[in-house]
Amino acid sequence: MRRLPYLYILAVFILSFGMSFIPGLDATRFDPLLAGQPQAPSLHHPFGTDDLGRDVLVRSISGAKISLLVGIVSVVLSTVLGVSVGLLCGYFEGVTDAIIMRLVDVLMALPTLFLILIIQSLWKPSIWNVVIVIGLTSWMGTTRLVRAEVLSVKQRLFIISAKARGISTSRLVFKHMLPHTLSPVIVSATLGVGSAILTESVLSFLGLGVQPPYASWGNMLERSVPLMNEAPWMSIVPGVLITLTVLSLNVLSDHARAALNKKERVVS
Amino acid sequence: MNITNGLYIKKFLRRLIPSLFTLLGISLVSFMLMHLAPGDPASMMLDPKLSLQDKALLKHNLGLDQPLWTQYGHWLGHVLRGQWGYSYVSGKPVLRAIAERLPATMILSVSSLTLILMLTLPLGLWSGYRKDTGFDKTVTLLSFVGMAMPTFWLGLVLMLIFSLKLDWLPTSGFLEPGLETSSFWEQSVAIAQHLILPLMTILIGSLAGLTRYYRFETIGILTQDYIQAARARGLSETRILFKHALKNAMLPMVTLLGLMLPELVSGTFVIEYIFSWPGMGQLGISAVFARDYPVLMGMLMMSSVLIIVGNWLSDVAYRWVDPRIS
Repeated sequence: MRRLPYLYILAVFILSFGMSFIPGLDATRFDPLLAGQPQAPSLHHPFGTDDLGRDVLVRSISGAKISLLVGIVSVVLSTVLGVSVGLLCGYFEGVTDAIIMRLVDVLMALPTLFLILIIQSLWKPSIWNVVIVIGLTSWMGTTRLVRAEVLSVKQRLFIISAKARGISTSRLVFKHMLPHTLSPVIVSATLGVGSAILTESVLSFLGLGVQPPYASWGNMLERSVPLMNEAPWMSIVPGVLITLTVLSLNVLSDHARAALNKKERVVS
Repeated sequence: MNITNGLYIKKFLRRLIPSLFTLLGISLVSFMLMHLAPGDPASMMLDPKLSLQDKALLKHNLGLDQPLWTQYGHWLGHVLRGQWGYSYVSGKPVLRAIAERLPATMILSVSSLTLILMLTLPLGLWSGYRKDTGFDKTVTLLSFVGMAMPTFWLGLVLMLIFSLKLDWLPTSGFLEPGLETSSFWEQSVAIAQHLILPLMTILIGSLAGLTRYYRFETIGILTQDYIQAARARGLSETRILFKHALKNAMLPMVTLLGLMLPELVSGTFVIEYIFSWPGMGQLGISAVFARDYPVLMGMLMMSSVLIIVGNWLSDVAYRWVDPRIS
């Protein structure tokens, strides 16, 4: 039972990235005979087809690739940005720190999803824009975390002794400070992938994210709305997949937290 | 008395001035973001058949032909005098356009907040108290699932089940067109019927956070020495749970509520949009699609003020509830 989320994520990864190697599985291919009338799940199409006669299973697997890609790349972006800004602010303090932390306050007081919607509607929506926008609007939490950690680590004896040994600044920061900040960052990054997948689905649902003919779970949901009553499978399949994926990622992050935080292990 | 008053004012100003700078920063960031983007509303709102001169005239009238800094200074100057401009779409003053949408949003957010508070506390308390039992595991599983679901999809599924298949509830909207003149009671019933689905959607998505939190707090509190002492004194379990554990688990609630506010603000946007609930969120999303700059600026500033005030209030409330924090 505890391994289930890991197996699920692994399976989604292997299926979605391995699909490209199987000939004949094309998410954009549609069956002209079936177009216009979505087909209910059958042996030939286990999850049914959509209104253009495209296989929902194939599209879901192909959508998984895009959703995971968006989730992971945007979190990598926001984590790299968040960690570097946090290290910078924590290490140097002073005026730079004060200015950057005010900017963090500004960005944190904005309603994020609304901001993302505005940016996406103004710039041409594309997969990479989605990644960049999610990445650039979600680094502030990591920055605060890392900065606080650096500020506290700075007072510890091993840092003072390393400084006394005349160690270079970059070595001090990357070798001695960075590793101490990593465990909370890993936990929040795992959570971040799930929330980025959810954000992508909202954006694509509103037509501001991944554009057709590419399949993403979000734009599959967008397409399913007018047909919800006649072809519920078009909506249920991608919705359940998003839920299972985000659920597994959140459980993973919970496990990581429990493993990293001994205090919590004692309590719960 | 005078000294304490002076202190309060000083404290107040120390909070207020940074907040004002934050707001200024927000307005600058959002203004630049919107106006630096390619394309402009003048060409979006116009008939493509219009002549170039007319287009230029319209841009001039809207002030869109001036340098960005001048436009921002102009906007700021007007806002400081209380003029937020007019919606490009409806022509209404921005503040009025937003104020018109306030009641529907308030109904939705106040009722969802109240229910979240009323439901999460007993759920979290009990699952913490009965840790690792079937009840706890079910609550944990359900709250995790609720958190992982895309809220808009949950809304659609609920709509499919309760409106389209079972036909128990209206799919969307606020009040049927024919009911504007009927009695207050009839209107309330109609609105309440429309409220159920969006409310359920918000609840299922946001029960998880606070429930998990209370569960965790309760588990922590129950291991404390004073609980052991209370048990040793022979106090009943209900008394321990409600008198000792509950009180302490509730402390950080105010802070959490303040922190939940931004998510509640932008989270309800999409839900309002799906259920055609005539609130601020729906206005915001349609303004996004129409590039209605004045309305967008107004909405962003209003929500930011709300978030800042929320954080602030939760800070004040926390100090008030827990006198140990100075």
